[in-house]
Amino acid sequence: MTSLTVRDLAIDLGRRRVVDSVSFDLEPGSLVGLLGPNGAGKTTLLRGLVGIADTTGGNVLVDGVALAAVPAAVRARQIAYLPQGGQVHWPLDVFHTVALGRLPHQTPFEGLSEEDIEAILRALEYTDTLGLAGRPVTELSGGERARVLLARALASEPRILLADEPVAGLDPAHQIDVMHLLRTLVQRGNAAMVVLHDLTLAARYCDRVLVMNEGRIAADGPPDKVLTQQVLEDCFGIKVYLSRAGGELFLVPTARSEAV
Amino acid sequence: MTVLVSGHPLPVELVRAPRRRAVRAGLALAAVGIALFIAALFAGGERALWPLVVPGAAANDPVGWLILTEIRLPRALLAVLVGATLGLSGAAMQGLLRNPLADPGLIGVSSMAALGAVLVLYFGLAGVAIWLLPLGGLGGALVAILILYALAGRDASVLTLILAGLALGTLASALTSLALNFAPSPYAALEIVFWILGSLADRSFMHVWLALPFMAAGATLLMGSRKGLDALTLGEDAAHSLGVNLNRTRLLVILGTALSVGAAVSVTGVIGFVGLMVPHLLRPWASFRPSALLPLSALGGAVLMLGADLAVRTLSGGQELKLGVVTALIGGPFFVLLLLKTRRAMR
Repeated sequence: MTSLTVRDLAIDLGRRRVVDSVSFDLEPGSLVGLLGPNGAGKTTLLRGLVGIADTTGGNVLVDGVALAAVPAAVRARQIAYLPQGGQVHWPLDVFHTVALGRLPHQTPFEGLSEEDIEAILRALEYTDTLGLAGRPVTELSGGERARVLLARALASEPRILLADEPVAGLDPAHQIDVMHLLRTLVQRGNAAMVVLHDLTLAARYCDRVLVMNEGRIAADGPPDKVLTQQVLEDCFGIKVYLSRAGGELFLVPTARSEAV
Repeated sequence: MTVLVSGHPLPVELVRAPRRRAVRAGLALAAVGIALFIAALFAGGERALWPLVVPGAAANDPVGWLILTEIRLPRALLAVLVGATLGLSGAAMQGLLRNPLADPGLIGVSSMAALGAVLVLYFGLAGVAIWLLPLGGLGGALVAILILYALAGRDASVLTLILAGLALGTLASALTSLALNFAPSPYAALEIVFWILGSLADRSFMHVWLALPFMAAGATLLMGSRKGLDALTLGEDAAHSLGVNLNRTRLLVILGTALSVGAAVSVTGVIGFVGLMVPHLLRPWASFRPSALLPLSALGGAVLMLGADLAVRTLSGGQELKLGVVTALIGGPFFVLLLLKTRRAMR
């Protein structure tokens, strides 16, 4: 069980404050949706949580320990980060692309252990990419590659998964698969924070959503409390059609609000 | 291995096949390398040296023995060392930059090493002591490393490094031209030009011993970057999240390349395109994994260099063709082809 505590986090890119006084806890067993318009600071926040973006102020604690004090190898085993629209620079086959996710577990000059291979195969199975295992990753479709890269992040068997738009470019069936998979992961006591742009997916699958706007957290809480006309109008500048069916929330953006 | 996923026996083979392919390619290259090494020792020349393999034969042909051990052997050893250095550093550089068009010469160290040696020739110091020439080259490489460090700093982006390398290379060739411009005599100018062309001719064990420590140190650093290079396949952010220290990886590759290539240029002059061609040709045999490509490229570079030098030595007539000229003649068109192919792939 690993939890992430974020307090008053601030991140500057150049002179611009991109993340500003952000505080939240990411608890084991929760799937948190990170929403917000383009440029709200979602990606920068995630990059700050794995130590890629330098923080200007505030704290990120992993189980109470400051992130900067956690050795990189330990952090890499606990927290996996799936960058947005990730590329793969060499035409590795899918299996060995996913195997890169095992790097934090490997010691130098050792090949893949049996444990590594089992973790890789599990990740391939979860993401429905086992059938692609032998294909060069550069020859896959965008949606297939997105699933393979998700498998790469899962292969390290992290306690915390930070995924930047993991369902972008996926067909509806695989979007549902991925959201189900994330649910399964958190039910086993892991934590996940995912950037989503599909409001309905966020409402249906997340325990909690954070809505970011201009670097700050504009709203934080369970989807049905947070995803209201008012919040969506303030943050996204849109009007939405809200509906409930079978106890689930559906949100369809219908128009830009006039104020914007 | 007992990996069995119902209905999917494929992955088991997938795990083993790339390793097997890389090992096979490595063994094949090593075999060709050994054959070429033996050929480099015994083939060509006026005097038949092969009878010397019989034990005790050295006493009957002291001159032949001298040719074998003091001329052919260091030359062949240098071919192996320089080729391995260029192949290895080329593979590391391409891995770091994630670009198949990258070359170890990119960071300007080879030009600076060449300049160092040219200055020794220009001031006529090569005549004072033969070891001053490679020492000048090493000095040039060292200055290059210091300047790179000052220009690009500890926390440099790859782009800054390349631009710093470009600036350094341009400066070095400008100063080399200056030295040629003010060469005391046409003969001195010719000496400089011939040295820059790059050759393994007339090298001795002194050159081997001078270059070897730097090459070994450089190779050790380069091999230490393998995990980082593998992770970089997924881009810098993902590599970082996998626990890789990118600054360390960058430092290992740049310093390793600078040390080993600087030493190589110091003893042979500029031999281009080997570091570009070899990793690219061998990449499929490494299943495109940067870590597997490093040792294979070292072997491939040694083989290419042994073969090219053997060809130069045995096939050219009165005026020996310079090795650097041959690799450039092959490498230039290769580069163009590669560029066309990459452009097509990127479209």
